[in-house]
Amino acid sequence: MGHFDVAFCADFVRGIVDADDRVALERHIAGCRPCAANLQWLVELAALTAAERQYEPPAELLVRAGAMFAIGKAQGDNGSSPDRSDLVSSKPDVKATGDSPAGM
Amino acid sequence: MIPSSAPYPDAPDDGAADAILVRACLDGDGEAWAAVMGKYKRLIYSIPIKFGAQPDDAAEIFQAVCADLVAELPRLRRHEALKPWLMRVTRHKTLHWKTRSRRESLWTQPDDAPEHLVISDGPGTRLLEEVEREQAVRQAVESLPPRCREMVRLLFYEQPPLPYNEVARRLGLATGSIGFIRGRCLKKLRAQLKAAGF
Repeated sequence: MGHFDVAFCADFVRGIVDADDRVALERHIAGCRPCAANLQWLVELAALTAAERQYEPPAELLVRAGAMFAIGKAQGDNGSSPDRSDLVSSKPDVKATGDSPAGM
Repeated sequence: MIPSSAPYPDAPDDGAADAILVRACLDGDGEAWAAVMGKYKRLIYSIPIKFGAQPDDAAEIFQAVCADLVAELPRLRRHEALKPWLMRVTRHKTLHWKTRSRRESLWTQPDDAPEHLVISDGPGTRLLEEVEREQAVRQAVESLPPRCREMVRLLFYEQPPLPYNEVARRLGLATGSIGFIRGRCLKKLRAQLKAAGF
């Protein structure tokens, strides 16, 4: 028997193949390393992308980040270093801490 | 997302691309800053979320990381190491938040940290490996030609899975041509991921 193509494996991972095709692929990969490998990276891809939507920060955070950059640039243009206190509206516990860039 | 026509499109994680972005940021280039944010916003925001932060706390941490980055840019010595720097600073702030949260809930709640957060050789090591792999996928997808990029997004980032006639409609393609194109795009994606160590 030939190999299952990557697009079919993707359909399998996405759960949109019918029951007979699913069983056929499951039987096939038990003895076929290339198809098992094809399936493996697609399974990991699906797992890594599944939660992506919840990692999208709200648009307003990006607007604020842009404003921080503009403030930092203006301070730099005036010959001073960016001042964290001007950059962040802080809760005391997570405000900018001055992590050293050492080691970077 | 940064439009593909922008001067600083998302690029595979080769470090050199980040060095160019950092230097441009130091020159005051707002588009370079937007490109940095476009490339790493999910990486930064995902770390506190994975540690159990609610959106408000994740937002505070996100802003604090951005403030540190703006303030530290002039002092960054290794511009190509932007990603590990962001991960380190975000983890630091997240752990700080986590410690405070645990202290506050010590008398009212059991420690319900998910198993995958259990520390091995450093706080959240396994979790940060996951963050890195997610970022590698993002950058591999971003490096694809525009139509392939959109195809992969429609196939893998949409929940529940879209039927192919809907994928075809959104891409402006005939349903019958989807099969060939998706196979070609997935092969390109796999090549990018292999290059990224998958």
